[in-house]
Amino acid sequence: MRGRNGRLLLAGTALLLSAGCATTDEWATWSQNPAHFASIEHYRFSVKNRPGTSPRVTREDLDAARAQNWWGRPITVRQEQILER
Amino acid sequence: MSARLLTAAVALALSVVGRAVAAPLDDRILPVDEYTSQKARALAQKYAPVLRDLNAGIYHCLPWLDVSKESIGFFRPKHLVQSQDNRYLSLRIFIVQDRSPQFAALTLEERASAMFSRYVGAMLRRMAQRRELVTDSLVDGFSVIVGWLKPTSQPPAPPVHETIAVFADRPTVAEYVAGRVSITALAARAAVFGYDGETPLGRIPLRAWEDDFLKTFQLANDQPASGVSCR
Repeated sequence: MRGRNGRLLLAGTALLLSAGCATTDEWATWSQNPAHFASIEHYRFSVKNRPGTSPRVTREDLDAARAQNWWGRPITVRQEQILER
Repeated sequence: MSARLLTAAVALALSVVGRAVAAPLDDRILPVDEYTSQKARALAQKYAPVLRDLNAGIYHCLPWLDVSKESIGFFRPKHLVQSQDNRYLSLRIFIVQDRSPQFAALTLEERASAMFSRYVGAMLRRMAQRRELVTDSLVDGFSVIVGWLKPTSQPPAPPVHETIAVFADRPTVAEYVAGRVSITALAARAAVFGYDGETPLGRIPLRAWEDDFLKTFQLANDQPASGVSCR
């Protein structure tokens, strides 16, 4: 019984550890973005606009969101794939 | 597929306010010294005011269109013969719109057709406002690159964009802006390439129709900056 419990504990610990492991890319992203918010502007925007309310968005908010990748860096075609300078 | 369906897709949740003090960024236009040919530099210098007006017009009057850095200019389409310096007046935009189940239910070709119908013709008319551009033999054509959020793209995964790149030669655009060619014929004559995220999908068939959304849609609580006139 004691051995079975030990094996269960070991298996559970291994499962937790493996489930919690991030990939190299994920760690790289995390190290570049250690905070929940991308910037102080992102934080202020989120505090100003609560879930369930109509958001108030300024043009400066949109520019900052784009420049600072508030919602992550998009996966999209690079301009160089389509056009040359 | 009706225009109403896409109108629903663009029922923006945003209420854009406080733009009176904002101004468009000049970095949306490719700087003259970044071009790789003299022809392109000459065009960029000659039409610099046109490029600035195009940038400012979109910024002030169509605030849900995002123009990214260095995406307005006289570029060389990569799919054309590279031994020739074909220069197309190009504009790349990203459409910021609310999520819509109706839009998500369409196929990629249908979404591309809807976006083409709504934005490509209207952008070409803006780009060719100076009629000299459609008669200048140095200008080989026009291109409009339109991107939008892929409907299946969900946080916390990075956002994925779908994109169409539309290329039309100058005579075709001249006929279109003069009203001698319909949007349907424009779609048939243009070369349209699709992209799913970074993945090229090749040429995609489109079915285009007249869509007057941009003439009638008004963003809630949005007032153009003082001195700016939006038609």
